[in-house]
Amino acid sequence: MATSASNAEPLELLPSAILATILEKLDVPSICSVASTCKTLNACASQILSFLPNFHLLDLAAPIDLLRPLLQPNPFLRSLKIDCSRLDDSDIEYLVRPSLHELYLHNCEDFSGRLLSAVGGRCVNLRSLYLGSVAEKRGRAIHISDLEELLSGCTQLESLSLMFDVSIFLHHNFSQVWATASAKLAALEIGYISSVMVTELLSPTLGPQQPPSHMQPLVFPHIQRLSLSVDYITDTLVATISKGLMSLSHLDLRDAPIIEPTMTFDLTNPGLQLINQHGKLKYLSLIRSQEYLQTYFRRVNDLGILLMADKCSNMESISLGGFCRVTDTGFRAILHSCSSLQKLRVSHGIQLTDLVFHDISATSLSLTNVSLIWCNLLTNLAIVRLVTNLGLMYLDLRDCRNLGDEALQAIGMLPKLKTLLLDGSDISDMGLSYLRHGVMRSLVSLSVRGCKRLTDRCISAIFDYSSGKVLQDLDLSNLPNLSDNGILLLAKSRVPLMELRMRECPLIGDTSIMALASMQVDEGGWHGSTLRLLDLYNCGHITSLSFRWFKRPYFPRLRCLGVMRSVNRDMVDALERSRPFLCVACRGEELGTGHWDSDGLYGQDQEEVDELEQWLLEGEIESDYGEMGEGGSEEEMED
Amino acid sequence: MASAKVFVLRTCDGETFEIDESVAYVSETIKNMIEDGFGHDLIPLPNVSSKILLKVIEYCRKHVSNFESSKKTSNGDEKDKDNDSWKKEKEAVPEVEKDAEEKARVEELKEWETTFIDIDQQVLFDLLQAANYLNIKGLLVMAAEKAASMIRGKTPEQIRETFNIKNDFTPEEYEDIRKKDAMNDFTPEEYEEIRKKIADNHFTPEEYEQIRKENAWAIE
Repeated sequence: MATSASNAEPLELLPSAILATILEKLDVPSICSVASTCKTLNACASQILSFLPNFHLLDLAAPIDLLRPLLQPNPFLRSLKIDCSRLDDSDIEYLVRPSLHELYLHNCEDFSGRLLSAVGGRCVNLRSLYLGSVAEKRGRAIHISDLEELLSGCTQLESLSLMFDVSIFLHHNFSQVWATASAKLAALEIGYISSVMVTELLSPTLGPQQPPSHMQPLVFPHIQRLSLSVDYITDTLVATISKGLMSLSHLDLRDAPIIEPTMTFDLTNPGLQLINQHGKLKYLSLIRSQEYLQTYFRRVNDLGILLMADKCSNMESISLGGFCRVTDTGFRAILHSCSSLQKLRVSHGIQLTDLVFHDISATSLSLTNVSLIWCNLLTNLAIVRLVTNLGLMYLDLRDCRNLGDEALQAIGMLPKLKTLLLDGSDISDMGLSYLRHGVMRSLVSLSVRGCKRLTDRCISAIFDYSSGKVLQDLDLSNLPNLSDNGILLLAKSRVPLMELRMRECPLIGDTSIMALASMQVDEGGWHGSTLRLLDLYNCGHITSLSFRWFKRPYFPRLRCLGVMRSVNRDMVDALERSRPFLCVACRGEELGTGHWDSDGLYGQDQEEVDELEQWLLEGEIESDYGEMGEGGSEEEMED
Repeated sequence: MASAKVFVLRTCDGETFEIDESVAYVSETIKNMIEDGFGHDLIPLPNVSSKILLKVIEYCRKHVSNFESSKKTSNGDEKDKDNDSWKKEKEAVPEVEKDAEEKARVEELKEWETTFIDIDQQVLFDLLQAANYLNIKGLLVMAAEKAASMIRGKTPEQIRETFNIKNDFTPEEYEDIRKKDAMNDFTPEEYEEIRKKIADNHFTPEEYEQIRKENAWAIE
């Protein structure tokens, strides 16, 4: 191991060309660290910043004073990715550069539409653009002319993500504006748009004053990847997209109804069959979020899925959320028709049982990502069958309440597993010990949130001195038996965690924080805690004494901290002032970009979902093959 | 079987090494020297020691197959430990490679590279300089990435310690630098203070209780 520094020639004596080669590979915070070491390296680092091709700073919201010296004039800058939470229109000139091929700006709430027109005006070489949350702050204006300037200016654009509410651009020439977009546009992602707008955009229509022979140009002729968040996924939407986009290979639609969809405004069996008309679809995701209302795709059942699966034999990834009427027949059809399938995601698969995986080893499937969320009829047997796919890297089994230790025994044999989510399952400490010798060697992300049988012993079950060193994310929330002793064990195991969540653990107290804050000393020198995210929301025994341990220099890399609601607001303010890059959350919101998707899962209680299941089981009186709308039973569901 | 040409390299400490043409050509510098007509006598490498040249040649021999797709070196190649001469490589000409074989080969190469670059810091620096001088891009990139991995995520103090760098800033200059480095959110002086207090982190719950009581007065 390269450890001994005492006899080595000093780094700064290497020729500057070599130093440049090394520094070029570093991320921006590391370059800043190097710049603080000595004069030679400081000069080298400054120089690097003038020809660095990639400048990525997404994990902290830097103010312009910090960014200005780093964003030097740099004609070689190709890729810029910044969290713009603390920036606004006055900083546009630093961000918008003609040399850029790739520009990702997150959290642009404080910007106005001027950002879009500036990008369109100056970034003529842009290939890939991501703009998040533009003008979402009150008082910021954004106009359709800004969008027009963006689209017509960036003529080389291949990938566009407008992650904000695009329906504000409701305007009579909306389609014409989009028609000016680059012909090379291959990927489009929109934060929110109404399905009616999409339908109008994609169907060539005649204007009222135009002669019949004058058809509007087709927008997005070459789109391959489309990702939209809409109000309702409807048959019309699916039909228009599938018919109009001839090169479509990736389709990702999600909706979040606020009222129960009527028959004309919903996805039905015939609508689902219209997918993949040009046969190129490889990736399909249809998700109905429970964010505002408990609802699901009630007009789609096995028949629809069967007919769809027939047409989709080339699919590599299928994600279905809220298809509660689909039973084993439908899901099995997918597994058996789509021989190239690598990723399968089913959430709210309320009728999904072990039978789906009964003969999965007879297929030639090599699944890498499997998510079975809120599938309460699944038992250990299903998992035992599922793990015959030894290439599994991502396994999400959240809220499958009947999974237990036998499932873990099976999972323990997966050699490549990187992510394992077991929230709400019936596992015990012993079950987790099955993971120690195999899976923990590769596991990067583990969640046992709400597995109420777990105790402090689960920590020693998972970690020993040789395993678990690659683990970065650990979620131990909602564990009523986890105490400070468990966290002491965790700290002693020296696992270099980056994210640790311990929300709502009644026995966790100040001692845990001290344990986590402790400096670690080993042959490599000393390192502060590696944690970037720590969520201690509502932990029972944490007092304001613990705030001593959040101050510098403890937790040097901490960016997100979640604390209890009852904390003294002055202390939080003082902490935030002394640590400007630490974001403290006191209202219990989930931190970071974890595994929460907008299915609205974490907002739900167990009881609510039980009710949903109850309704479904009551509603399934007779087989509804061939039926599309149940006008009568709707009222029953409404209660 | 056409005999490949052999060239002789001489290091700064007087040792000589014979290598095949294909191996020599991995280094752009040597390739240019040969093409300019300097290959007949010894090729002197005054900036490279024999210890480092051994490593370099090991790299070159492994990567010859990347440049010449029609040939494939057998993996069971034996290296002659004797520094003065090398056996001619046995080259196996395989059948048409299948996709899976290619993947396996890439995997194997990655594993080989991980072991190869697991070296002392001094050797790493010398290797960097040699790769730079001999213009072997792949080796330079690999070694640079290794050096970068030793820097990534560390505080300035940790970097200084790893690479034995002397902090030659004046206090005023350092204050200025510190402001630029604010995103890393700490100072080495604070670390030093804590370090003296905490030797290692194996505390018992009783010890923590003690620390907690001692520090209670510090809470505002």
